Amino acid sequence: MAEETTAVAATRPLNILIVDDSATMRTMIRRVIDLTELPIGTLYEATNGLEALHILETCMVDAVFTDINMPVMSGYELLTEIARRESWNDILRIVISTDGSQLRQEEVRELNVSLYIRKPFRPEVVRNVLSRIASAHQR
Amino acid sequence: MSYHESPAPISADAVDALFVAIVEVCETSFFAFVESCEPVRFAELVGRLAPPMEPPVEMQFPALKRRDGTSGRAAFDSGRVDRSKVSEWVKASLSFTGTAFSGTIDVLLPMRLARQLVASLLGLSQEVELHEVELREHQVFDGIGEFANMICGAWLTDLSGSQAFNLDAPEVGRMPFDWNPLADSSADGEQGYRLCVDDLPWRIRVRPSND
Repeated sequence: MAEETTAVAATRPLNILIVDDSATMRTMIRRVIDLTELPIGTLYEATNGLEALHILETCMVDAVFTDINMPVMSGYELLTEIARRESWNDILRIVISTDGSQLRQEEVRELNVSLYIRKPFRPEVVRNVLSRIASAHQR
Repeated sequence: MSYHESPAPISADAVDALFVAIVEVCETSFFAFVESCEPVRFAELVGRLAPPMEPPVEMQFPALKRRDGTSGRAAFDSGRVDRSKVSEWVKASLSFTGTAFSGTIDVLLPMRLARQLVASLLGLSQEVELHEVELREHQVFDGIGEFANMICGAWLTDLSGSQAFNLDAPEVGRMPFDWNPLADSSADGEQGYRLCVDDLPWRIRVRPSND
């Protein structure tokens, strides 16, 4: 872990977008990210897919952690929109959802989702995902 | 493991799956050890909470007013009644539709346990205990909504297998002032379970719909 952190430190910090209609979940994910020793740049937050799209259009984002069930615009609609735009091909997409059904997982996998994290999850899961993202980002 | 309040309208497998989901959510994300609770112990734990206050006078006798013309409700609202002595319960309610069955799930907790669970989820248990951080009511409500959402999601994921299901957004609020946590709701077609975390009682109710 220490080697990984040192290696990544030389690269541009990761900008991350957290999309969840629950402020508690956004705070929880933010705290887990804050506790990692990875080079994190800006943490953006959105309460639904539409807000997330506005952020993606105006900010440089490397990874999106999104819920699926949200009002206004769902995570599925957001991921569909991201997949539709070529300029967002490099954005890493991670789903965090209470809906762990195979059907839902297959649906989003077709939208280039790198990982599907089912709630409840341990904080280490998000931390490990970030480590992997940071390593990939460094290459 | 369970102490249900009426003949189960949902299958025994579904009940088992519900308890697996409850334990998984409590232990994985809320770092809480959950136990089922037999009725006598549940009543004892409810009794250990802040002593319940008499319901406002007009709730017992709607037409009755006090000599000074005020009602019990007015005394409560005006702050002359010490709210801290009221055992406050909150409810997170969630409707779901799935292939196994559809219905509503209610999670009912004393505010004290709700705060404890949300603080734990956020990694703020120590800060909250030391009063360095104060969780506001809307934060507790949001966190408890997520608690109910996770339980229902984990349960339906297990029950539904490869099939999709839908969860509505949780609705969270305080229980009515005169609600009795010991009341049996089985007459309303609900399946209820009594549980506890760290000797704090809570309940979960499932109401399958007829759809």
